[in-house]
Amino acid sequence: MKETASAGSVDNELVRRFVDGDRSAFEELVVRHQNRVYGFCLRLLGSPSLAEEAAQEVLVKVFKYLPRFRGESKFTTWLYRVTLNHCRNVQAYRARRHDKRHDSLDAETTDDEGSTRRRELADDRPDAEEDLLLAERLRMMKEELAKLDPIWKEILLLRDVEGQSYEEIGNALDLPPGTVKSRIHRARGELKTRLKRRIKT
Amino acid sequence: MTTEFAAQERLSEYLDGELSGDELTRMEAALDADPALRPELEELRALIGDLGSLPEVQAPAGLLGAVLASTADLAIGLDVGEAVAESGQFAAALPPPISTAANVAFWKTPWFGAVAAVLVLGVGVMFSMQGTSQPESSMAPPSPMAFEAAPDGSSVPSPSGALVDADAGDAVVDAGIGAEAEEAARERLADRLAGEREPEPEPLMEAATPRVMNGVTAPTEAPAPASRPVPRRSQPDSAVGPDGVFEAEWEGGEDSVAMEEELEAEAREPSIGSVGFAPEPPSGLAEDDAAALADDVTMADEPLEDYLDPAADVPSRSRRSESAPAATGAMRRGDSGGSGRVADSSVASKSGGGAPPSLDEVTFTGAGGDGTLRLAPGVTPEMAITALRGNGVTVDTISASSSTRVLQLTVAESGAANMSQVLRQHGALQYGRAPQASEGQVSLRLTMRSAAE
Repeated sequence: MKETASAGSVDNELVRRFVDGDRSAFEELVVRHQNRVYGFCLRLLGSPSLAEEAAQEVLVKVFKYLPRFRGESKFTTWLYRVTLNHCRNVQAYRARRHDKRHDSLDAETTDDEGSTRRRELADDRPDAEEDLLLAERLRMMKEELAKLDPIWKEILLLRDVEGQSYEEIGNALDLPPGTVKSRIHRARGELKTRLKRRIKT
Repeated sequence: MTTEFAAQERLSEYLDGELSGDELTRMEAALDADPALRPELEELRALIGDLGSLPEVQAPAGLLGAVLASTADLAIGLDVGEAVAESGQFAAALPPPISTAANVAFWKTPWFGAVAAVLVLGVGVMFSMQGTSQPESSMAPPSPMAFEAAPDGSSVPSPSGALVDADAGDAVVDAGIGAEAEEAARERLADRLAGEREPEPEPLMEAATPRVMNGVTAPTEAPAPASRPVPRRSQPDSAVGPDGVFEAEWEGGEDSVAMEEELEAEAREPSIGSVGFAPEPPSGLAEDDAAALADDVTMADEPLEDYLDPAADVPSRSRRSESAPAATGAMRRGDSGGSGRVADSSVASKSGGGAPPSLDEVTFTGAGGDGTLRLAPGVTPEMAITALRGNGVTVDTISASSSTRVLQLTVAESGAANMSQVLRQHGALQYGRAPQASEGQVSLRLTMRSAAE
């Protein structure tokens, strides 16, 4: 989910209004970013139900903690950081509880985004076959992405799905620039390797 | 080779435009010099392209409303929810004023009752109403849902078929009562009503589910005027959709804790008649019967005021349930707190099942219970609010281009607010997502959706 510079200034203004007491500004922020937060949660956690819970909790946290946001980074960077921290906590909690909700991850995830793809492919364009190949490739990629170690998955989502810059990723993940560079490349390599292995099998 | 190795490790930076100057020159030289690098570069480029082409995920329709509801009682930068939760009493549970001007004491505003009333109306609860205009539209619910009244007779069937407990101080819809139990309960209620008061409208619906305790409203125990038509037993209350000026009254007071306990006891021992509409046909009805019920919507033809005697007092445990004086359209402020007044409000409701909704619909679900709105998980009654007018309150939708729309209220004295906030401010409804609901937690999702979707 790419964003523009003007989008960042709109966010800044909404944040300012909210901190000044304008609750409607918070609603606007939620409307603007709920897809981003939910989508990020969905891809990190896998399950739509988990993602929805997490997204709601994240956005409530945003309400509570936004006054503490100092504006030293972009709002979206701060938002990703809040979301990441929350999802990490969810994953850690579920790991301790041996939560099995992830069992249906693939199916749910596929359904969730698959419906979008099916709509996209519903038309009868001449390049529909090509689209089908792309759809299959994306499906495999999504599944392999979901299986990646969180350390790689997080940074890949931020960089290649969410379109965050290296600097923003460093801020979101609290990593030095050199680590961001090497980790992005390594993460892509991990995913590429998994895809190749899958295609072979 | 050191140079080649370094280039391979920095292909991502190259593709991301992170190289410049000397680094960029060296990378391009390495690509020219080493044929093996180029395919790897293209693989990475394709991978990045695929990742970037993943479709944007749409947040669930109820997320915005749930978030707004969860934050409605939070002051900016300050969580006041716990203080509210600890209050224990309905009146005390009303959220404290919020610091922002637009949200100060929502629950005290006159329009609040009207808004809450609209929602409750949508599930078949008819509040104390006095219409000066004839109902024009009917509510043809997808299917019937039953409501159960309090056992002490303080609840009576509303014109819509719903039972309204004037004492409860809030509405309770509790799902899960079987059709047989409801049938028996309905007969018990009919017997009791016959012995205790003027003829009341019989429960209209045979359906599985809930009980409705009064909520945002009022007095329904008024003796029926002689001209009041006797609702047919098979009449699906859901005919709701009154489209007239109404009077609504709600109150909550010091008795609320005791009432809550009573409600809980009732929930454990379902024994009261039920009416209303349910999202699914009653289990005991054949499809044809259910279809007949769905077609048998007559409320729209019957003046609301025929069912309600504005001057009647409701005895017993509710002074709260006093019906409103003849001042049509007025919501009176009670002496036990948590009441309000709405004048000349007009509500038109309709739902799917009959004529297709011509305007947006409101879908809500709820579960659990702090005594307000209880629906079994999975029960999703639907209604459409086609209009809410009165006393400076108008209803519109926002974010029309989005899949999530929240009712937008424009309130003369308080500015804009959304419905979930409004209802939460009442202290009686708490919204969230049904899948997250658990016992003791009320949840509700408000979703606006256009008829075209």
